[in-house]
Amino acid sequence: MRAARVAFVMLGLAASGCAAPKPVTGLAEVTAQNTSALQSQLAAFSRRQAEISGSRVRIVTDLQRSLLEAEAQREREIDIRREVGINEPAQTYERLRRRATESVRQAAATRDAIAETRRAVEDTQHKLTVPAEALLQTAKALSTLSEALSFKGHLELLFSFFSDVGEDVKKAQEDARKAAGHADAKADQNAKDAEATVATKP
Amino acid sequence: MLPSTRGWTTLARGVVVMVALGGCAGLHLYDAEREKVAQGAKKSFETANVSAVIAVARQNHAALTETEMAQARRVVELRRDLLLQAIATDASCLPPRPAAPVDGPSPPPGPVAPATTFAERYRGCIDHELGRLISPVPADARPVRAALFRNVEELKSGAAAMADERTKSALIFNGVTLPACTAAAPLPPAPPNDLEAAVRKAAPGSVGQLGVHYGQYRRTCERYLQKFGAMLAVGTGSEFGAAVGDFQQAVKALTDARNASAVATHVYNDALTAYTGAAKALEAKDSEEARKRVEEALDGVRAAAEALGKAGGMLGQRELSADRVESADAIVAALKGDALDPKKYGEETRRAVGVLASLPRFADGAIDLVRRRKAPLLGALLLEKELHAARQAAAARQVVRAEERVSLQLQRVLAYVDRTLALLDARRGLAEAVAAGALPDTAGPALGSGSAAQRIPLLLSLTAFMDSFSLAGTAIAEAEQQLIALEYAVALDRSEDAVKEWEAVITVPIDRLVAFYGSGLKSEAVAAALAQALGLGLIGAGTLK
Repeated sequence: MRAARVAFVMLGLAASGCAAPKPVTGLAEVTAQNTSALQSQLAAFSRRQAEISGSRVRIVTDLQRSLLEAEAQREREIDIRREVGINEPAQTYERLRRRATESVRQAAATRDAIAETRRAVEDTQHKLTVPAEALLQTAKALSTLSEALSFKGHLELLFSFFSDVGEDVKKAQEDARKAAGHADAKADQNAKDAEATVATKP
Repeated sequence: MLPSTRGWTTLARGVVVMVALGGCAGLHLYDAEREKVAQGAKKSFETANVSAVIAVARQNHAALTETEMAQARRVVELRRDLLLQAIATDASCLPPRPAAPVDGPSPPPGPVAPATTFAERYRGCIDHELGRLISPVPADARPVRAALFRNVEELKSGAAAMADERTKSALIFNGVTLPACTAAAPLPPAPPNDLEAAVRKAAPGSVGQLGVHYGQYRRTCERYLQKFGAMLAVGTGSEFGAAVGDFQQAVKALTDARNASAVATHVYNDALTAYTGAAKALEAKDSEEARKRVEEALDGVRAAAEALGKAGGMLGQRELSADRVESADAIVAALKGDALDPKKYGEETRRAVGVLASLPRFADGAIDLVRRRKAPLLGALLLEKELHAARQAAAARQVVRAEERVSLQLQRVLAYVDRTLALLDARRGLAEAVAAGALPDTAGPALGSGSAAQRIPLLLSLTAFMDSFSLAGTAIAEAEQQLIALEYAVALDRSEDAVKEWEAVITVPIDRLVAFYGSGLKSEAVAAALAQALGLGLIGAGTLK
């Protein structure tokens, strides 16, 4: 009974002192602080990203305004020339611009044709699939076979083997007994049949 | 039957041993409420999915980059169109001088700009563009154009020949490829030692052929680099020259970083070799002298690791972090309880112990670790591994970014070469048209009613001039925009790396807390022990997890 009291005292100690041990609560405390710090940093990151995006959007918009104004100015000049009857420079410009656009289209068509050829050739190539999983399983199985059985393993194997042998012998004996029973029954039946046949003969 | 005292004694002994060995971390009462809280913390942190914040920032960045690229292309095309308009309307391609205000004072009297012909104005347009690429602009563009064109063609055939050589060598040497041919790292006259060693390992029967193949490849590489240098030397103008300078600087920085990292890796490995020798001596015989030698060796490893972490910027850090991750894995694999399994303690594990013992987190128990008295705590080991895996991934990504930067700068330089060739073509066509007879003074007649001998080269010239904007110019603008976008991407990488480190220092402890609060002495276990002690039989399987 003294031992029982010791156990209760120790369990009591464990219950009061170790229900939430200091290293564990300390770890939880530090992790809570880290989580809070991460939250603050992500909030700061989000603010910075919003500022950067805003600045980039502003630059894009300003540049777009300049582009559109320059294009409008160009169109106005051409229109004015047309209006006052100076058509030749406008036509020359349009011709040159068409040529520039056509040249870009040809270059794009060439690039696309090359890419298409590449794709077509690549499509004729089948991807080689390595039977990695099957080979891994084979290697694992062979690795298991390569390990010699321990003494305990040998004992277990022998025990299992002779258990099987014992059961097989038992089953064979059982089968033999059953077969012998059947044979006796059949012989009795035959004898009875023969007697019956003799008795019924005139 | 009286209650057996044996059960109580066993229970009491178990409690004492567990308290003594494991301390409070080993024995504690199971608290279902706290387990639920810990599981809740794990689940809410998983739900927070902090990486998604960075993913959204990347999506925003990608969308803005696409818009900026499209706009950069449009700016180049607009410039082209404005210049075409200037040519077609017989205006100057040079930026206009500020006009005098109508109601203000008159500008000071000065010489009136001489009237020029169409050919002169158009040549002025070409030269204004060409001057940013080649300075001074040559009076006769044909020899410069011919030399540059030849160089570019020879470069293309040289690159194809080298690719063939490398493929052929990979087949002959069983997968071992010849080193890349780069301007920053010229190939040595004889095959480098590591290449020869690789061939000796992969294709021992073909080692004799290495010299022949390497020699041929090196000659092609030298010719290629010579042409490449000559091609870059053409870029004497402000824009082309700056692009060449940036490219060369980036290549040099990457090469220097690789060299510095290789040297520091060598020193680091030497320090670890010295450590394993000292550790072996300590394992064989514990003495003050042996301990002192181990401490000194560990100091050496610490210093070498610090140097490696700083060497070559991200390259050294990548090597160092990779080694620390592998070492942590090796230690975890060799753990057996709170010690290292002597059966698994080979040279590799000894080295891994040296790597870990040099880390500040394990500095206090380093000697015990080396003496195999005590293995590091699994939680600390896993946390260290996660942190270094995050650093390794971050450093590897920075290496990729540095290579991307060099690749984009090369792309920009090659686009400048294309633009130079196009403008030189424009000059050549104009020279041919002028050689066929004097051109009319204005654009309309010059382009519309001249002779075929004049109009054909002139139209080809104008097409080349336009292509120098539409094709090469937009390629330059795209490369420049991508270089700017790359810097934004690098900044995002840094933020993502920081978030990953934060995730590691939160996820690993949460997992440990979940494991702790999920374990503990359950009431069923006590009941079972009591039942056994009272001789009522075991009423339940032990539930001490």
